[in-house]
Amino acid sequence: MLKERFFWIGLIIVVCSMIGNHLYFQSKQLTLPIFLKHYYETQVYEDGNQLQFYYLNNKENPVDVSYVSIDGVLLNPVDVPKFPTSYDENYRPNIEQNFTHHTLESVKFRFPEYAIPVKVGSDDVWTFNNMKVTFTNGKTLDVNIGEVRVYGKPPENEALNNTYSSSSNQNFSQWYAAATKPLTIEGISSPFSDQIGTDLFIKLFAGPDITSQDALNRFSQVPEWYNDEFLSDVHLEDLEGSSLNEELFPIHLNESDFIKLYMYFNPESSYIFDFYITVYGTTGDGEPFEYAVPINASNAPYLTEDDVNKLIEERMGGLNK
Amino acid sequence: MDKIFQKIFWGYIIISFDIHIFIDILIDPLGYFMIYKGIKQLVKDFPIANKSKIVSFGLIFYSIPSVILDNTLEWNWYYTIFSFIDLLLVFYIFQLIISIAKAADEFAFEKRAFWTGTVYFINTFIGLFISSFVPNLPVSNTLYFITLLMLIAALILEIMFFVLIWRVRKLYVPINE
Repeated sequence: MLKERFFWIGLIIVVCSMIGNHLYFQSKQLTLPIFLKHYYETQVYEDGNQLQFYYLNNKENPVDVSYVSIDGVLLNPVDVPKFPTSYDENYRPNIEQNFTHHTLESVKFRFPEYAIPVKVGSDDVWTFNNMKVTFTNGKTLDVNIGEVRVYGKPPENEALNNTYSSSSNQNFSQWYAAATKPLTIEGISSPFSDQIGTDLFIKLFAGPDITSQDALNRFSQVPEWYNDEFLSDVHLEDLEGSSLNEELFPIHLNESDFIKLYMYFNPESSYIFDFYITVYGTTGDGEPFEYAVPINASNAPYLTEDDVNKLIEERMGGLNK
Repeated sequence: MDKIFQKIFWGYIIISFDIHIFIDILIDPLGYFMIYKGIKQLVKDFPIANKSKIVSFGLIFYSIPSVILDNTLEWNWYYTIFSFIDLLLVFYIFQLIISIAKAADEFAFEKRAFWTGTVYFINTFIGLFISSFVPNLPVSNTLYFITLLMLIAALILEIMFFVLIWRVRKLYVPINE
């Protein structure tokens, strides 16, 4: 005879496990989405440039961004086309990555000239750090999204002639340029160096004064994450060049001398970059010049489950608080 | 015996197939009612049938909301409890079948019913235990594979249970129908 006792023991174990898992699942739910930090520089266009913002959402019962208000400017998200043929019930067109309890999603906004406080061709800059985001569940959240600067004018780029640039993969890009006239480079500045710390690592190789790697190494300071493991992950050799530092400058370039920049991005960073670093100095005629080198690793951040947990821990001081 | 287990068998068929045309046209309360009617006739000769009688009677009413509801998330707990009570009924019917086989002196059949039931419940509880972890586990192919295996095993065992009910009809036990 089947013993009824075993049935009840089995059922009790299953019920306990269901309740335990349900409580754990609940503890992992975000009350509202968490936005990542974005460091963007862009310029205004008449019909607007699109900027993409990333946030962590609950996988179960996700909410959508309904609209945002930035310094009183109201913006609706740009519609993402949906494939009606998808059979996956969890399918959402703006999902970038899936995790156990969460998804990384993105939302795009267009910033047309008529809506924002900066005009095409002007010297104005519109800077914002916060967005008031209203979600489809009616809740509004004032979130820090990093920093966005919208310029009226495109950046300067006459003193150098960009001959080659590529971003061969997500965590690396390179940029070569030749001087169009004799130049003295006095420095290279990054607009968000305080905020992003060492997550962006720039190596510089410039001639003809600096000719050997030894000379470059003397000043070089390499962030911890720039190691053999990182290099093998991005399939790169340790390229020649020194980390950016003041001792390197000034660098004198004759006409058609080369400067190379290698830009590495910390793979564990949850920041999203799309901005310009500025090469500045004086030309042979004593005129100051600036040249903007685009930095972007923004196309899609790549997070791991650990990164997600760390982010939630950082932002919420634990779960569900 | 033949008529009694035919009722129970068709009752289970009605419950197992959900054909939704606006509502579930093979309505579950009707299935449980047929099972209840069948079991009721056995209570006099097999006192153990009393338990399954009570449970099937309860399920006639508990299953009423499922007629109009689709299997939606908001009613998760309703369906979870439903499946537990239904499982209890299956357990009592297994016990009933074993008792009948014993009364009919069909030792081989009794043994078969016992082992089918044992494997049925081990598989069901392991399956439920694993699936309770699914919302908290990272999505992986291994998990899909295990879930698929458990589902196939559950389907085979369900069919074996139906076959058992169908076969009990032919056992000869003198009862006052």
